[in-house]
Amino acid sequence: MTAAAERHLVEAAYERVEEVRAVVEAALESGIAASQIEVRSPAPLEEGELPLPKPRSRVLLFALAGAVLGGLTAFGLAAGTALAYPLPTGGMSIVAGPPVGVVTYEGTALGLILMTVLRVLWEGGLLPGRGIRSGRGRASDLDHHVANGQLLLRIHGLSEEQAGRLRDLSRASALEVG
Amino acid sequence: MTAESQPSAAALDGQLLGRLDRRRPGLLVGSLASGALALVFIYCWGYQIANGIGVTGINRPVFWGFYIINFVFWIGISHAGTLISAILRVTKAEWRRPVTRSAEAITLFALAIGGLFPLIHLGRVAIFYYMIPYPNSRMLWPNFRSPLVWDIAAITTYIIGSALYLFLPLIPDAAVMRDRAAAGLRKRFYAVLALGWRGTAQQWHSLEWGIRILAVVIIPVAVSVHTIVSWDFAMTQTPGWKSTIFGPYFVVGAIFSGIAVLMIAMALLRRGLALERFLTDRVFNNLGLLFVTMSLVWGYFTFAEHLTVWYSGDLFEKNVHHVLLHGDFAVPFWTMVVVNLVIPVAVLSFARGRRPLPTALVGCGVLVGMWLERFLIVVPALSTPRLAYSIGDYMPSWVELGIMIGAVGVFACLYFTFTQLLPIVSVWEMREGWRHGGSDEAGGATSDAAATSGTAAAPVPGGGGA
Repeated sequence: MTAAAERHLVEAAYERVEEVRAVVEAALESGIAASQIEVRSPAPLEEGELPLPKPRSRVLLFALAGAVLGGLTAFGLAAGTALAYPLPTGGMSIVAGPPVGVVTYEGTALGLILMTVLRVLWEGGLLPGRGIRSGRGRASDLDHHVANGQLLLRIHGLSEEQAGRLRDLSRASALEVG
Repeated sequence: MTAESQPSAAALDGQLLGRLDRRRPGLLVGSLASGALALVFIYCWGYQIANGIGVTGINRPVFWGFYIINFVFWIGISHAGTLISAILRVTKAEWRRPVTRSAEAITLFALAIGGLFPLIHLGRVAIFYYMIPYPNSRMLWPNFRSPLVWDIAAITTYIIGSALYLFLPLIPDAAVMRDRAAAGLRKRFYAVLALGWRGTAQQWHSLEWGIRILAVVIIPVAVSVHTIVSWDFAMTQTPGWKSTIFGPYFVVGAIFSGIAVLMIAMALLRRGLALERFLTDRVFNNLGLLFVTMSLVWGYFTFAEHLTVWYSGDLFEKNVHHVLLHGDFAVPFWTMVVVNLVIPVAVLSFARGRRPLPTALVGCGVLVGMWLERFLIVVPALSTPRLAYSIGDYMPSWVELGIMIGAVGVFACLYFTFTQLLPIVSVWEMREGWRHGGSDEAGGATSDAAATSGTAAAPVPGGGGA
């Protein structure tokens, strides 16, 4: 089979999750890989609603890294300021705990927040230059169904025969097949 | 409501989108009217910049006046949204769904206005950047030992966090608006906001993680912001300000005034956008219960604060205390107690009082009361003499009054404009609630079909089953 023959895409809009599930199960049974299947939904689907592997996320890891980075930066700023511009403290410590603590606290939170959001956008392919690979994240003519509360199933990289079979299967229950 | 009489999830979905799509002349009028007030704000501030800080009534010994009162007031209001929304998200309260977006928008706009007041108070606003650490040859560097600099750190973190906490859950709804809008400027605007969102499993998964993390983090940040604002006062030796409970007292007051604005905004939205089916009586009932609880907690803190001052017998503290309870400031003080404690408890303790109109009216009273509270913290403490020669009174000038009233216009203008442009009720969160409508919290049992489809009978999140 040539590469060109495998570049078929089937997409169909559905009203119910069960209808999507039936098509996805049939696709998986026919040997189509889970990585070729993409479901777009108007709200998050519960785990296990579809027989597809759960997406992975490293948002938490990056959030923690952001917290450490932000905390260290803020600590460096506040403590470095105290050392670079020393004030007469009457024998008390030059680097005072409470002010450095407050600034470090806020810096930690800020680093965590920024890194969390950046990672969410990165993983979702929402940053410029991301998400266009292998057809995923591309606009579809059927996207308006998702906007109207329905589900959109897209199966990529199909042979002509597979695409034809899936289109026939989809027509039974789908609102629109593309 | 029986399953038979319930509208389907698809019908509810259509109703919600229909309401959001429809142009509301009332909103446009509101935007224009509040825009006119915003012009007052711009004119007065411009006048002050041109003529100097001397155009205000601020003078020794009352060197903090309306600007700092309004700074604390607006920062307090900003606690409405993000904090309440985050707490409701973390506790998985289903009735939060129609409330969160509105609350988060209040936070962002109130915080932006609150953050302006210290700049206005500076007088020479053009040199505000002296407070920012940046390499320079003049040895200008902020002193991190000052609580005023902590303010900058805390408010910057909170405003960035609140903006992103509003923006993240807005992305899927911006995509909905993008895909529903006809080609043109509006579609391009929504396309920019949606960042290419398509609703894939990976996008939802990452978004849910992000919202979960931000909801947890934003709570201590919000608490820290108003605690640090309170330390602007409590870290001084000024009688009336030096208090160990000012941190929690300010946080409680902030949440209290925040809920007041939220109640007013929701009552207006419910009526103005005909969102009765979504901003249900149950939502008002639950927020009303939270409101009356905060009123009681505020009353407890106020009592504790004044009891310890009175019991200490400290001469200077008692002087300030006397003018509050029996002297020149007795009328605003007791007005504050009535509108912040007596009326909310009297009205909101009963189910009939926890409806949209009564809660909004109580909210208006609480806003007045909480503004008075900040006035009574700032002015009496400074105007009560500790030295024979430091006697002085404070009377705000028309410039300060104009800026104060104009700030309300700026806030309303921003809020109305936001409501016109973007879904003020989170569409995807409502859809999620309808899909998972089987839980009691979501408003009562529903059929399995309703939970998985858009066609069968579905309850309204936040509706019924209180």
